[in-house]
Amino acid sequence: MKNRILLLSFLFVSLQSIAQFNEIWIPTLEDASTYNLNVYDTLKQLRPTGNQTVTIGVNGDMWGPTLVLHKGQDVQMNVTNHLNDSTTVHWHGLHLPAVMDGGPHQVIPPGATWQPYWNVTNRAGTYWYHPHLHTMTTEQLMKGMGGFIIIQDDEEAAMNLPRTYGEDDFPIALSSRRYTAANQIVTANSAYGDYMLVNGTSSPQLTLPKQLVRLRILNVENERGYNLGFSDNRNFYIIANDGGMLNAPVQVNRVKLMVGERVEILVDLSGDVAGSTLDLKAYNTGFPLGFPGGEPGTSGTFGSLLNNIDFVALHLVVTNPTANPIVGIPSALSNEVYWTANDATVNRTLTVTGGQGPVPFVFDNLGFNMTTINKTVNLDAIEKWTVTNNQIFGHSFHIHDVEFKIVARNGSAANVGAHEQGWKDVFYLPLGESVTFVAKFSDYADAEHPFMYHCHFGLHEDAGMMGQFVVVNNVSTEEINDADITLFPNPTQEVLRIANSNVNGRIYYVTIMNELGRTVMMLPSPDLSRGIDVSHLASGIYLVQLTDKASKKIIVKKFIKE
Amino acid sequence: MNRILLVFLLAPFLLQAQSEFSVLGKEIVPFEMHSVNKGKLTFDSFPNAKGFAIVFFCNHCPMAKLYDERIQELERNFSAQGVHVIAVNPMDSLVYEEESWKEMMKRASRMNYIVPYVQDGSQNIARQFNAQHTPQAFVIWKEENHWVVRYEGSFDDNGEHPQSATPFVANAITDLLQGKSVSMPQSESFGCRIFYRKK
Ligand SMILES: [Cu+2]
Repeated sequence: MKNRILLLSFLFVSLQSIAQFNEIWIPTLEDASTYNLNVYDTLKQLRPTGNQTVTIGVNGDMWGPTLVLHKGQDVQMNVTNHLNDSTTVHWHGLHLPAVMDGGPHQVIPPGATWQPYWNVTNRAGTYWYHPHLHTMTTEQLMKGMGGFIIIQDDEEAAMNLPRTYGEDDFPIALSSRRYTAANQIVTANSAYGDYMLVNGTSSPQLTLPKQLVRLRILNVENERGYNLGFSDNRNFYIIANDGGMLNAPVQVNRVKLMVGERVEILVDLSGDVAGSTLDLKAYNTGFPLGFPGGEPGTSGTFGSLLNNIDFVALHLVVTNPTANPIVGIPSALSNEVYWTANDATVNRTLTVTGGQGPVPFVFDNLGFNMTTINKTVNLDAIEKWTVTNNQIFGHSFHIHDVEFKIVARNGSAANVGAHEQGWKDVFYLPLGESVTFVAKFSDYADAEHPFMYHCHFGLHEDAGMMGQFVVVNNVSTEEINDADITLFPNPTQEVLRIANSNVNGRIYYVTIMNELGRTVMMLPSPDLSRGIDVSHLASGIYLVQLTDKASKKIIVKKFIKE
Repeated sequence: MNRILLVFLLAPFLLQAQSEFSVLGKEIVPFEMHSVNKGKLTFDSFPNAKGFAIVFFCNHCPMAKLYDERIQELERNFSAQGVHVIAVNPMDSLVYEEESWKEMMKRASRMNYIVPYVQDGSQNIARQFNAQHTPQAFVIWKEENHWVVRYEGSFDDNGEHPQSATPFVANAITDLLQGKSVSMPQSESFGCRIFYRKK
């Protein structure tokens, strides 16, 4: 009898220890004008026992550094691919030239460094970077490749808001994973994970100070949506959407966050007891068919241990406050004027089709094709797009290049959620709804290089639920000829300069290859006045491929690196 | 009821998925090997060999990098009993700078390889085994003058902690040396995908 009781108490203790949480990785904050991002295959102990899991790291083991960008400043990215496979890196939500965008066309082969650069024009907010290699996005993203981008600007800096990273301002990338018997991440035929993974941390917990805190939450799932709330149903305040600060905080006790969406919230923990706990939960029980993660069943492609239940997304522990906590929810934040339906001069429609049996979901019966341009948009046009979904399941719609305003759901502005009133680059497209948004396609015209619009569910995107659009203007350039181009100094030790004697011509892309034909540097639309830094290249003979913007013809030149 | 039905439906699919790349029980045709540290080899270079552990391996993959020493140890433990280990690198040396002959030589010398480190430039060895990843191990056994695959999968089940790993390959070899059938002939393999060049 006594033994029985002892046994029970032993069991209780061991169950307690199984349910232990791990403090989440707060990605390193980097604030620079040039970033060197090294993408590696690597390993991480994600399961409590047994083998390590193969992951993809950016400058680390899983889920890369948080990059700070400043509105108005130039940024240079040097992305080196050390992976076993090709990849791309897309700057999600950022407004930049298509050739710098990191979509499926900007393939970085193993061993090459891709060097895009741009002037940061986005508003302060929470953005992110992730792979976008067609058909491989799910696998690379599920292995943990990606990270946050925080944009800062003067407007946001003047607001009385928590913004001390890792102290009262926290990045939270919500996701889940399914593992094989050998602890490897399942990436095929599996829409949902079974175990939470936040910022690349299993059994995640976050310790927060007893004060007003800011959480920057990103849904980085393959497919699952989160109907987020706190376990005591407390209210919280949405202060930003995908494209930055709202005009005023929105008080809620639930917010739906779909794949790719971000929301910044303020939560007041000043009345909590230090040492107490709280959960950030997904209240995902009982949604109608089409809610991603609402399907019944615990296994198989569309089943999961987390489906159609309320579950803990992130365990929270309250600790002592910091020295000078921010106090008070601001009544107003920004003064943005949004596009309205009346501003649009072009109307477009997209309809979700397919999705039955082996037929994948696509737009307008047309699967993604790298060589098909689906839409052509005039530079500076304000357009209204309506996406309609009467087909089986919900989706998460994302468009590159722009931040848009959702002007209607099912044709009515009144149906647009209080949580999605700001600038957005992703929206939830439930089954049986249409969503209408308005966007201006400014600054970056490029008749050849497309931007993407797609479903952000990894499996849907990889299977072809994606289209491409180009933004065009009427400025044409002259064709450059071989004789127009001179490389100097040649041989060179540090910087290679490219002189183009045709002042009306433009070099669109420069690729540098070594003698073996291996691509070592990829320079989209390079600023030739700066020259090309080749100091890190091994000495030898190199080929420079210069793509002429007007004709797309490739001019090949040689140089010697000393 | 639904649950049971579901399991029935899933089971054939899972089996199929596992056997998609399987070469278990397949006869392997002896092949020539060009190693960076032991010269040119054939199966006849190992007189009286009863079996081989063929380990697909490479320089750049993090999981493979953990196994250099364990591969040498396997050779030390079993060579006297007529079982030899061969590390085969099927990675495309044009795509991956780290997989060149020169880098393989450096690796073999730095890590004191006693097993041959073979460059499978044509990928023909990997093709015979339908190898999918590095690292991935196969045990082939001589049965009436035929070489037959008797184990395929991971080397063991813990990359970073060899002391707590179950040695799948060593266990398979031990079974075979004792004249038994291999108790666990297959395990999940993972690591860096081997991309086959179009022929
Ligand atoms: Cu979708």
